Amino acid sequence: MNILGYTNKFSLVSEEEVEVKVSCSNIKTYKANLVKIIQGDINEKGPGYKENKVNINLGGPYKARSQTIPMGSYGLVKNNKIFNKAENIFISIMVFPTLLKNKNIQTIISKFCESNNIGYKIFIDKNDNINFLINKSKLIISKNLNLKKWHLITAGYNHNTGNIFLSINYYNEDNLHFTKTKIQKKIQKKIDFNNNKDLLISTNKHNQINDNFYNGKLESLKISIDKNISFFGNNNKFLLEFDFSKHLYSDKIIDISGNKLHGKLFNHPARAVTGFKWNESSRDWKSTPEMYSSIYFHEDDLTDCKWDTDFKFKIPKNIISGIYAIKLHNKKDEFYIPICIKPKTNSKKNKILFLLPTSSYLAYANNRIGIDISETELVCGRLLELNDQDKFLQENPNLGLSFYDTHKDGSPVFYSSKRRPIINFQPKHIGALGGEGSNVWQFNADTHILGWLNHFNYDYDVICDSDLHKLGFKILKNYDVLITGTHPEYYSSNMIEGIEKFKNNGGRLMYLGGNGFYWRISYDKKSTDIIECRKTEGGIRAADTHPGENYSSLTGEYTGLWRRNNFSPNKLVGVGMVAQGFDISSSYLRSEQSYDKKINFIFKGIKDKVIGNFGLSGGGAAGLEIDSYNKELGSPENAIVLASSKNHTDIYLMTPEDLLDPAPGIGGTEADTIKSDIVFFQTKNNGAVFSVGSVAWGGSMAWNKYKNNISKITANVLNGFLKIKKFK
Amino acid sequence: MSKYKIKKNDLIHAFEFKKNLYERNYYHSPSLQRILNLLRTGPIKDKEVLFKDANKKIWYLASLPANRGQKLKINHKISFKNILDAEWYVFKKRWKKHTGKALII
Repeated sequence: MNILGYTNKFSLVSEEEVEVKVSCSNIKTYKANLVKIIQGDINEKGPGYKENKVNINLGGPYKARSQTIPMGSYGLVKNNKIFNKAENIFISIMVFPTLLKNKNIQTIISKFCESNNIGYKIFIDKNDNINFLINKSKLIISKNLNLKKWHLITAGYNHNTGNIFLSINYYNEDNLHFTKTKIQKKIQKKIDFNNNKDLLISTNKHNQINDNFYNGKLESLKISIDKNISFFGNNNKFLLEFDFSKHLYSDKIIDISGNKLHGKLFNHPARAVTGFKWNESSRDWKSTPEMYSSIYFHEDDLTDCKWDTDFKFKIPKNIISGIYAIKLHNKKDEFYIPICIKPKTNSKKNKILFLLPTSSYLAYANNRIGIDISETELVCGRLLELNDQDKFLQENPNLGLSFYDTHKDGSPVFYSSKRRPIINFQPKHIGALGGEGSNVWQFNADTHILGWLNHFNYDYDVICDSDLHKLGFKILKNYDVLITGTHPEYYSSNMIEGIEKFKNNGGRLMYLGGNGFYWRISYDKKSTDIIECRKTEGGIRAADTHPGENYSSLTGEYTGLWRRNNFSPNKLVGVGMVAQGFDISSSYLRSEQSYDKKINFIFKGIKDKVIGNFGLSGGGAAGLEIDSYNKELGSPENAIVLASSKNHTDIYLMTPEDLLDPAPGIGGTEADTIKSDIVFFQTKNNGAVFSVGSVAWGGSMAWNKYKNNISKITANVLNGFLKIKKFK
Repeated sequence: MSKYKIKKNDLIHAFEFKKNLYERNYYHSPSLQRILNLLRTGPIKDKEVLFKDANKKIWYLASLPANRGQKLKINHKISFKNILDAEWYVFKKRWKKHTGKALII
C-alpha cells in the first residue's frame, strides 16, 4: 500500500470544490480519476466489481510525496513575551499516569529548545521516574510513579540561590493521603532558561516533530515566575493557571490567571473525564465541572492528520447524486477515497434516498478487530484471513483507532475522525466480520445495495449521516422512500429525530440492515468530521467507560445504547439487536401473517416459504448481526412479523444488554430469542417501515446476479412504497 | 479465555471437526465447541492466521505479533490451495500444542 489519502469533505454537491490530501511511499508519481462506485465486492461468486469512470480530468500524473501522520494528543500554549520575563520558575501539576514501563519517554510539560538545551521540561523516563530538566541541569526522583494513581508534581528554580527543586506527592487511592518525596540541589545562579518555544503539554518537540507523548490524565497546571516564589506551595501569583473544566466541550484550554495564556488541544485528548476531586456522587460533568478538571492524553490519539492538499477540483456540474470515489493509482497501487455527491438544496430530487451511514464508517475506521483481538477467530468460527491491507494496518498503527479498539493503556476510544486515510472505507475491501463468503463489512457491504439499485435502474439520491445530523428532517422531507445501509449502527439525536419525523410524516423507510440505531453518538459542534461515542452501561463493546464518564464531552448528552436513552431501535424501526455471530447466516421462514392479503404487495411473485437460504454474506440473508421484534422494548403493536430466521449456530450469542441474569442456553441453537425478524408496519400519515433486521440481507440481494427471492421482496417493497398511496 | 483441558476421550471430537469442516457444517456438538473455544483463543502473540495475496488463491500460514506496529510473520513455506486444508492444519497444530500429542487422523 504505497498510496494513502483523504479529502476535506465526505459529502459534496456539484460544482463544490474538494481538496485531496495524499501521502505516498516508494513511488514517484500517481494518477487520479473520479469514478462512480457501482458494486465494490470482488467475490467472484458475486455480481462482479463495477466502477464507472467519470469524464473529468483531475490533472496529474502527480508527483508522489510522503506526509507524516502526527499521532498523539497534546496541548499547546503559544509562546508569549510574558514567558520571557521569567527569572525564577515554579511549576505545579497533577499527574495520573495510565501507561508505565513504556518504551518511550513521556513528556508532561515542555518549553524546551532541543537544539541549544535552553528551557525546561518535566517528563517520565523509561524507568518510570519523574525528571525535571532546566537547561542542562536535571533532577530525578528515583521512586517510581504509581500506575493509575494521582501525583502532585512540583518543580522549580530560584535564580538568586541557584536552587532547583523537584517534589512528588504520591496519593493513595482515596486521593486524601499521600507520601511526599522531594529533592533539591544547587546549580548556577541566574541562568537564563527563556526561549521562543511554545509551551507544550503532554508532548515534546524535536526537529519540528512532536514526540514523547504522555499517556494519562493531567490537571491543574500552574506556572509561577514570581520574584518571591516558594518551593513549598505557597505561591499565589501565577503566570499561568489552567482550569481544564472550563470550555470542556471544546479544544480550548483556559488560563484563569488573568494573563489570557489560553491554549489549544490537538488530536482530541479525552475531556469530561474524572479528575482528582471526583467522587462517586458525581455523574455528570455539567453539574459538577470542578470534578472533571482533567484531560486524558494518549500517545495514540489521532483526529487530524493535517496533511497538505495535493490537488483540488470541482465536482462536475451535471453529475448525478451517488457514491463516487477519487481513485489514486499507479501501475501497482491504488487507493480509493469515497465521497458522497448529494443533490443541491433546491434542485429537483429523486423519490428514493439512500442514507450512507458514514458515522458507522467512522466508528469502524481502521479497526483492528482482526489483528488485535484474539477472540475474533472465535466469533467468526473459522481462521482469520488477512491480506495486504490488514498487514499494512498492523505495521502502521499511526492511522488511528476505531471504537472497536482500545488505547495502548487499555482505555476506551472516545473519538473518531475522517481527517485521516481510512483503509476499510474503500471498495474491494475485505473485512474480518462479514461472514463466510465475501466477508465485506460496512461501506463495501453497502455497495451490495447500491449495486442492486443500479442493476434495476432505480433513480436515487445519496446523502451522508453528517447531512442528516446537520439538517434533520428537512433533508428527508422531499423523499418518498429512505433506504438505509446494511449496518447503520451509530446515530446522533438529530439523526434519530429526523428519521422518526420522516416516518411519521408519510415517509417510507426501508431498513435493510441489522444492529441499526444502536449506539448514541455526538458530533463535534464545530465539525461533523469528528464523532464521539462512549459505550456506557451495556452493549457489545471493547472496553467499559469509567464510572462518572458517561456524558459526552462534545454535547453533554448521556451516552450509551439508544435503548438506554429511551429510544430503542424497536420503537424506531420495529426490531432491535439480539445477537451476533460471524460464521454463517441463516434463512427466513415466512410467517402465517405474511400471507395476509393486505400486504400481498410484499410477497408478490414469491412462492417460497423459506427465503434467503443463499447469499454472499455467510450464505444466508439472516445473519452476522440480527434484530428481532420485541414489544416490551417498543416494537409497535401494529407491526407484522413477516418472517423469522431459525437455526443460527452457537457462535451467535445473546447481547450483554439482554443477558440480565446469565443462565445456560444463550447460544443460537437454544435461545428462542436469537432470530432475525422481518417486519412491516404503518406509521402516521400513510408512512410505513419495512425492516429486515439483518446485516447479511444485502449480501443476499446481490446473490445470483440479483435474481433471487430476497432481491424480489426488496423490489416489491420499494415499488410498493413508491406507488401505494394508502396501505390497506 | 478458555481453561478447558483436552481429554483422551475428546479424540472423537477431532473426527467430528474434520467431518464438519469438509462438509462445511458449522453446527458443532457442545463438546466440540468447547474444544474449539480453547483452540481458537489464547494470547495474540504468535496466534495463527492465514495470509492471502491479492488475486491469488493461495493461503499462507502466518502469525500475529504481540504488539501494534510489529510485522505479521508470514511463513511462505507453508501454503494451502484450499482454505479448509489450512483450517485442518491449524487445528492439528493447536491440538498438539495443547495435548503434547500429534493428531493422526
